[in-house]
Amino acid sequence: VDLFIQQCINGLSLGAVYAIFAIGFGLLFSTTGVLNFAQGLFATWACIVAYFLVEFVALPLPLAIIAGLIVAGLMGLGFEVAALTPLRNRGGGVLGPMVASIAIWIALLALAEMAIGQDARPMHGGVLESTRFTVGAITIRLLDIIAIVLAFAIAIALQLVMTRTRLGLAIRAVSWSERSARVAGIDAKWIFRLIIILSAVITAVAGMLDGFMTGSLTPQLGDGLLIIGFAAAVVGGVGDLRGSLIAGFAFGLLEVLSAQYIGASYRDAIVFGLLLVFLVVRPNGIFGRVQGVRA
Amino acid sequence: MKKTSSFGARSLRRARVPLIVGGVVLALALAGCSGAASSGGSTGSAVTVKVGLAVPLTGSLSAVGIQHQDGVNLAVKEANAANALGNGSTIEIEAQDTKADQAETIAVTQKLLSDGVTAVIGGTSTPEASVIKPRTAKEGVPFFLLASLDPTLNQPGVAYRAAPLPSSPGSADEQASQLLGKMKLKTAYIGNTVNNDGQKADAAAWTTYLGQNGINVLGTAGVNSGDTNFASQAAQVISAKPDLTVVSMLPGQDAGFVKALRDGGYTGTIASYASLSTPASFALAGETLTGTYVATIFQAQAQVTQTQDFVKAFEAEYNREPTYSNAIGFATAQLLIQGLKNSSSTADPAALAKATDAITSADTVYGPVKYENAQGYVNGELPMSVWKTGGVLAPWRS
Repeated sequence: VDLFIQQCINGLSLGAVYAIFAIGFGLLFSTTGVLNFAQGLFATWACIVAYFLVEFVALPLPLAIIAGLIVAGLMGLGFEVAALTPLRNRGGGVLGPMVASIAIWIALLALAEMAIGQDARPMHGGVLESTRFTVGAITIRLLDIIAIVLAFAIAIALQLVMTRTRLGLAIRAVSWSERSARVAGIDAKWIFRLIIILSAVITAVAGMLDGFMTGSLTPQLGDGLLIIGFAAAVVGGVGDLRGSLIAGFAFGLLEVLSAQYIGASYRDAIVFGLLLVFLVVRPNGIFGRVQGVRA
Repeated sequence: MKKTSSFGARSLRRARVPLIVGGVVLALALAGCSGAASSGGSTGSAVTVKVGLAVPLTGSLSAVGIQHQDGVNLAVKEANAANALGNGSTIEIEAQDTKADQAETIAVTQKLLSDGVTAVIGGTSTPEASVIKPRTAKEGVPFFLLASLDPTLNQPGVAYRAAPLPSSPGSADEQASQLLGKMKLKTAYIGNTVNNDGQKADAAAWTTYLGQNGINVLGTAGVNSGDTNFASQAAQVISAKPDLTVVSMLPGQDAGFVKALRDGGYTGTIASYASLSTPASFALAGETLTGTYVATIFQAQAQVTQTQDFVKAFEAEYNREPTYSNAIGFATAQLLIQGLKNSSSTADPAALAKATDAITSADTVYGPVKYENAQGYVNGELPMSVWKTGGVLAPWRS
């Protein structure tokens, strides 16, 4: 029983990271229609920046984390300004931005490999990493608690912003119809920029948590999150906050418990088999059709 | 306005096509996450023997591939300087980057074969080795394996592995198991990269040898290649309370797993293989490595003449101490060079294969090695190590 409880905690902790990534990934896709494959690399680069600032500039960890998140946001903004806006203006459709994101993904990955090489770099989380609480035979890391709390906090905050604020109203208006939103006086250009910044920062939070949890940083850090995060976003219903949250936690639990009780060899087959089943049976995610919300 | 938990307004019916296309693109993209210049006999005029080197110089295994390349280049440089092939004949390495990708490995192997190389050195990993071997075999070009741990790949006349497999009789796993058995340990758990054939074979060998030395293996905590989060596997091991945990995982994963074990409160003994003996391992795992026993086939401090000669030459060439991957590259190239020296027709692949098949023993950077079935076997005592505080690797013999 102790082992089962411990593995559930590990699964929820891992799932929280997936959920946060899925929320960030889904936010961009559901509101702008951009399937951004570079999203994982935004997370990787946030970690790389934080790593360099701690290791070579001796910046305190909290400041390095904030700097990393800012850089991720700026990368998102750069992608929007340099690629997405021009493509949108020229009627790039759905495939144009997707292909552009693949190009950015490959470029950022190559740059990450140049920056930190291929050997895993140590990513020390200081007190975040070392603080643990023991209850009987169960150990809970401070990072586990932070990840789970952050997943709920981000989901709730985003839900409140989207449904209770003028900004959320504007975002939903732009996502529904950019032209109509402009007619209503909404500056769609800045809404798009804000969305991608927010999306990049949220996925960077997931990247930071993953780096500190594993204690390591590799250029592929974000790619690992992208695969499961993408799956969680699809299963949860892209843009569905409750669904993304539940699917993220479900994938984390499924990954850990299937490896424990069935075997690690079958883990990926189970996880992606579930993705396939959901795509076929419930293409709109756990809670069914995502409902359009008109401004 | 209806409030929902969905922040998007785009219908997923519209989104389905890009989602599916995206999924396919994602799957395809991430799945990748992988001659003689002149022929002639050994008598007569000097020839240049072109040898292909197919290793990852970029990509996920480039750190290991570059170390292999450095070892190979040093061996070739020494051989050419010593006129090892006679008549002023020399060896020329044509290096190609596999990018740690199977498709790229196939492409560069074809390129090397079309360039008419006499032999191919490669196989930094099992996936790479497994696609090189059938292509070199088809062309009748001998393949010299580097670091793949898959025991089914070596084959007389086709593929040669100079480095003793840690899982082979008399080698690292068995010698380490004997030492661990003397420590009166009773139970063990194995952490293993279960989707890697070489690592699976290594774990099976550990299970056998530990059992022979009175240590009962309770189970396996499996990870997949590419995994970096080991909290759940560590919990699995800690829950079983084994006296010993053997880590048989890919480089990088092993250090992360040891860290997860110690951070999770595991106080038992930990043992692993040579990949955990690198400075990169200590950088990743830090002091959590202290007390970890490492079964190695190569240690730079080993008092073996060939080892010390290699270490001096390597330090002179590269200004750093060689790693076990450097040693693998060096020893692999040395076997090839010995084959070329013994060959009746220097640049002829078939003659090279025949000559290499006839080699039965050699003094190497690992100490004395015997060759059977195109595979090197340890023929003496190996230099085992244990991590001490401060990142110091000390000899382990009791």
